[in-house]
Amino acid sequence: MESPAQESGRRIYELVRRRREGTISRRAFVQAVTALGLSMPLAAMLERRGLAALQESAPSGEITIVLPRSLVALDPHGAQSVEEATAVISSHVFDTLVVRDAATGELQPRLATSWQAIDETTWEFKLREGVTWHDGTPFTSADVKASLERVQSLEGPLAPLWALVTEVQTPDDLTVIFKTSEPQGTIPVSAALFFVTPAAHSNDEGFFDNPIGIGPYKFVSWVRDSELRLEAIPDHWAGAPGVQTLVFRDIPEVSARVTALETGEIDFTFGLPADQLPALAENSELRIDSTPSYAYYFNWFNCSREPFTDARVRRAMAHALDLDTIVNDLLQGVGVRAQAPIPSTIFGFAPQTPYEYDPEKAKALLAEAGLENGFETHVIWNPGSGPQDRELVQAMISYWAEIGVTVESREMERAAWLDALLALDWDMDFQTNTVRTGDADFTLRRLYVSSANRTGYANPELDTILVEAAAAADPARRQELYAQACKIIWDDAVGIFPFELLENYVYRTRLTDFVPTPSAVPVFTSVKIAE
Amino acid sequence: MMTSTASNTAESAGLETSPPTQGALATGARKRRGHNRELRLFLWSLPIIVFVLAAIVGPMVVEYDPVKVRTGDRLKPPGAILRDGSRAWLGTDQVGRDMLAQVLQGARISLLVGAATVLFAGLIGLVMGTLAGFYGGFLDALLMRLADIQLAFPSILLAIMIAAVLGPSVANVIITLSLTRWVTFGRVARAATLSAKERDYVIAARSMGAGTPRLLRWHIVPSTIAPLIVIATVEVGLVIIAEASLSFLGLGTPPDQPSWGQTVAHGRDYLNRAWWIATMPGLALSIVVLSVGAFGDRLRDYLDPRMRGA
Repeated sequence: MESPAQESGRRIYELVRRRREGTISRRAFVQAVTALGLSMPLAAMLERRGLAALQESAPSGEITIVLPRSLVALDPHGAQSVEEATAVISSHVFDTLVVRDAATGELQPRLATSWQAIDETTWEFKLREGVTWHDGTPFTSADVKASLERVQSLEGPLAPLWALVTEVQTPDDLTVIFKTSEPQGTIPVSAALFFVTPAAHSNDEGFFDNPIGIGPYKFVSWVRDSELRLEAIPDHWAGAPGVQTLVFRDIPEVSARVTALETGEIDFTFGLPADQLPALAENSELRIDSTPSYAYYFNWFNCSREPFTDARVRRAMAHALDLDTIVNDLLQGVGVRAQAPIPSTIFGFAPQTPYEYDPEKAKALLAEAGLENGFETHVIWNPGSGPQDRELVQAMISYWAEIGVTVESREMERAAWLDALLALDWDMDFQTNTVRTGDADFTLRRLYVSSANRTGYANPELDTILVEAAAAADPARRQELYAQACKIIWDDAVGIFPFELLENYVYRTRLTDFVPTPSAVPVFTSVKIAE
Repeated sequence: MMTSTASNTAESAGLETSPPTQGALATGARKRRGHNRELRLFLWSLPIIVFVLAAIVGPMVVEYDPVKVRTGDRLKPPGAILRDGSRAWLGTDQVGRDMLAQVLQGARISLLVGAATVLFAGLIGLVMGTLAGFYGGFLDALLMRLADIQLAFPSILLAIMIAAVLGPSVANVIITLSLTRWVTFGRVARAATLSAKERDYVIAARSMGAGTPRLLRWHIVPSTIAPLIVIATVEVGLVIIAEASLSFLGLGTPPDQPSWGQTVAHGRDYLNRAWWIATMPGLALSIVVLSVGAFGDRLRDYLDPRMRGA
């Protein structure tokens, strides 16, 4: 019998095949894939509901999961806070005030039971009563206050989301009030990414090597670069998880990871290159859940460095790439061409006019900028950042060579790459990025306001739009503002935005009830092991 | 010094199972054996000659462009016809580049690194070893303790350390490997010097007033060359493997100069779908290292005077 997930996987391949043959338009393709992605979790839930009702509620068994990238640190507030691996573990060990429903995209109560804007610059969250940390201490508003202040003081990648929060008030144990210097409509969305850690211990030396959590799983052990173990909390307030033990193994090698999945050594992985998927799809012991994701590739230009200070040069680089060919040859089943600086799954998405593949026009633009003989530059990237990244970098460099631009590929180890990226010490940067909240604010304001200085691009008009969009409470108004922001970033070619990615979760069929998430942060609390 | 002694010594006589009864017969057998040895030496040098020629001529015949990709022709098996009608004899890689051209280009880099490293490491070793052996005393102790320390350290670990500091380039790989490989040459050169400097002809030369530079240049160094050449053949294979290991780890040659190790590293994720990407350069690497090793073995036999007259 074919499960809904398998069927969806099959249909996506069918769609990709038809798209390659040109029998459906790109727009129709994206719409069809999006529709599939949205309907699939629902169908899967309907199918499994009957099965789930029969099963015991006590957690049992053990599953082994391999994440695409190694876990570097467990601290959900610091420099690693937007790393997938850190977010996945944090989602099980810690918890957030609100959570975004994987299927509908709606915000749902979690540690907070309700939230409201009291006035333009005040957000009030009511906290859940009777929740305790894994060591038995009760969860209170003081934990929330301390955690938020920690996010702000550590100045990690999440800090800009909370930059406008001037004060956290705790009138009683179960009420938290965020005061902002300016109106900010995105506080609840940002709260879905904000993990609460215990106020009493978070700043202890080595706390995050052996953390006390609050989520449905408690931390057991972590051997760096090898294995991390979590155990279920059977009497968790949100109900017992389905699986007793979650083991997160570290297998950086893709081929080793695939083999381990095929032999049953591991149960679950994702983020595999397109070349691995066809063989896995044929394996009857495996299931592939494919869903449009919040992830996309971009190639940024350092707009503060010659010659990328000139928008014509940046546009020339975009016109030099034959993205349709690249996506067809290299990203079958894992990516489609992007139409905006954010993926089409994101709130605030507005499609833009694509940069057509036109080497002559690219050369003309370079000549206009006084670079008729081309120039030399480099691109930094971190291997393993996304599917087929090495091949994509090579392909782009090949196309750029055609217009006379010599690009050196600087492959960097992840930590070194991150340092260089944040220090703006690069000409071009190629990477994947995930709009973790599913809201344009997370990506557009965090990365493109002048004060963030992530790309050297500064545009006061864009700044005004992004700040206003973050403040606005009316979704229609926000959508309108983000459409303007998308257009400015796209037309000024702050970067090339070539592809948005599909997420393919691959797992052994003994796992049931997995709900695919577009955010590349899968949650395993719903998962059960079939007998 | 290595010509006369052998055939009459007790041990080589012991090796002979049927003592020669007739002088003519013995001479004939000796000739045949000598002939066989030369043939074997030649046979094992054949693959090396082929690869050296391929490395020099190959990239001129089959052009390799490290930048140009042809994504439409990616992952084609060996012998496949490509879109432009050409044939990829060893298949294509993950971005559609021809594997044959890539392996030939890799041969050039691997052999260049192997030869250059052995040359530099040999020179450093020769100088250090000869000085240590000739002067003895404090200099000897200093240089040989330095060598001991370096030998106690796994050489690939040391290479990784140096390579990480220098950054990826072909020249840096040669420097890195020369610095980690000189010790073996140094030890051999020192031993040869020690035995040479007590010989009668050296003492004679000294008593006739030959100065140190002259003694070293004309009487001692020549006697260290033969053992060094044998060591060099062994080391070439090890160096090529060390270079491949460094490139496999991303610390060797830069991406636009693909050595065999690098191609294997990038092809390993495709082993289950396109085995040829990692296998072809791996095969070339194995053949070269094996034949260099076997050649070195035969060369030692050939140069060893005791083996000659046996």
